[in-house]
Amino acid sequence: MADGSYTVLAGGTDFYPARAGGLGGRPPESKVLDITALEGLRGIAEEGDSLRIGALTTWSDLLHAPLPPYFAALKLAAREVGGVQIQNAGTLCGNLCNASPAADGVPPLLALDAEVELASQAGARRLALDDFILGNRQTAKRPDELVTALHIPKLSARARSTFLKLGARKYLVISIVMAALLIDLDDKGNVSKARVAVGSCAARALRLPAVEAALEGRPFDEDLLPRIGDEQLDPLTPIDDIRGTADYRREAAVALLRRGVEALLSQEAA
Amino acid sequence: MSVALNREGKLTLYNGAVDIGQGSNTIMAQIAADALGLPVQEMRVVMGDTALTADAGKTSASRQTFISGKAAELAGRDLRAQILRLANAGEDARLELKDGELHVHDGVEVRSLDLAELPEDARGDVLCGSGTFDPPTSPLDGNGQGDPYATYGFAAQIAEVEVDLDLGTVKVLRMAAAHDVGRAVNPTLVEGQIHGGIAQGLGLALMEEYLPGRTENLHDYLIPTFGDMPEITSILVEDPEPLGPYGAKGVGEHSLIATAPAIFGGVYQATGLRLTGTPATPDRVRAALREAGIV
Repeated sequence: MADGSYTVLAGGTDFYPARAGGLGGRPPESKVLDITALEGLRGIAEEGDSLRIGALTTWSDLLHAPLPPYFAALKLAAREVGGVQIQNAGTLCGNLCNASPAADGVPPLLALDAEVELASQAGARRLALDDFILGNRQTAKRPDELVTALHIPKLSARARSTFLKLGARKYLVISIVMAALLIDLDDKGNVSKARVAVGSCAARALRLPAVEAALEGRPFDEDLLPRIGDEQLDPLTPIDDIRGTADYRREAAVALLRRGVEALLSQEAA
Repeated sequence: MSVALNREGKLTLYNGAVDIGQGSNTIMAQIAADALGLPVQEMRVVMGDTALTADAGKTSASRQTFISGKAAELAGRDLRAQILRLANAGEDARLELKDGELHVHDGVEVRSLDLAELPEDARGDVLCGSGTFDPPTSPLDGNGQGDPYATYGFAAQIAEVEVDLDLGTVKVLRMAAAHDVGRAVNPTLVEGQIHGGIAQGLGLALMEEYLPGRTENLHDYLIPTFGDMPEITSILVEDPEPLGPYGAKGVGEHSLIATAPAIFGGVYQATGLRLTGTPATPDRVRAALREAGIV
């Protein structure tokens, strides 16, 4: 790969539609490197303080893996990636490399503080996911690099997460807005950690530090709901398109974030 | 339409009505078999073969069951009349195909027709019944009066919907659909037509929008998925259509037409909002709710 002229093929669920011209993808004449035979790149394993998700791990692999409760958001997103056939073929890392603003996997992985592991002849490096996806279909991956894994830092057993996707139909839909929320609690039941990410509202999914700050250090109860508001959406730059207007996206983002907190509260109560 | 028997006792319906998934192959075979008086499972169907079948017109406007179905009935009756004449049997005689032989049971008598003795026609058949039907219509006069169509469909549908006021999403929970089909030749297929029409009507109401150059694919042009469909209760009303085969008439687009108004009526009942444009996508519903001062 060192000469950088290859397009890497894994699940192919974005590659083939793009090549057919539907999404204005890479030119068809580029050489293709199919990495699907590299069994060592597939699977989920514990590695010290983190979990390592190999680059060829599919959405279905993830759904069937026994994982801690804070992976709930990622599993909910996994069920939203196309249909089951797509989930059987498509990989988490492929979803990141494709870098669609509406990639279902990105908000939950941002909330999980995922790091992307890259390898090349020059050696391996890791990038925070937030530094890996740079914009609409742009990543920090150099042409000579291969994404080899994701690393997810472990959290306490009390950590919980959820994911909400809003679309104009139930299944197989590109989202209008989506939100992932992850919350960890301290011994007093206060929010010790809040990580919140919203997708389809900017060129890439983004964490919302103002929302996180509004939640952290507070008792984990319904008083959190009114603390989430439009004024905290600042990093988002939604656009008008056929799926919705920018104003609608902002309203919907606030509604989804509040519902996400409600969902986590009802889980805690159960 | 024609129904024919060959020397081996094989029964064939030459059916020019094109089945585009709605099930007209089954309907035509059922009607022709009933009119002939032989079991439908004996009927082989040749569909839409220009060398073998007559032109039955297009599959549209809920017309095939009514029009081609009537022709299929007449074809079946014609073949039956020919067989009864050859067997010198009465109207009430019972036909039986067994091991390639045709038996005519007339009272206590059984007469067998030796099909192998009869001359073959161009399609290799020895007996052929035909039927045509062109429904009586008249053009509209200067006052707009006349009978442009020989029959009409009648339907009533009720939708139960849930409107999310924060997000503007509309979920259709249940749909009751009552359709006057004249006579349900095949109730399962009628329900299939109703379900399919409701799926199309739900798409019209809530998501389908063709924007040239923009929604020319199936990820931007959304059609309903299984998860968008309501629970459906179909009510088949059988008020015989005098011109139709066994009183039947078609049920193609009727459930499509009634669905979007029923959904929008449900949204009005739930929220007080009168929607006036399709598709009512979440952002448009939310904007309309705001404009109407409901949220």
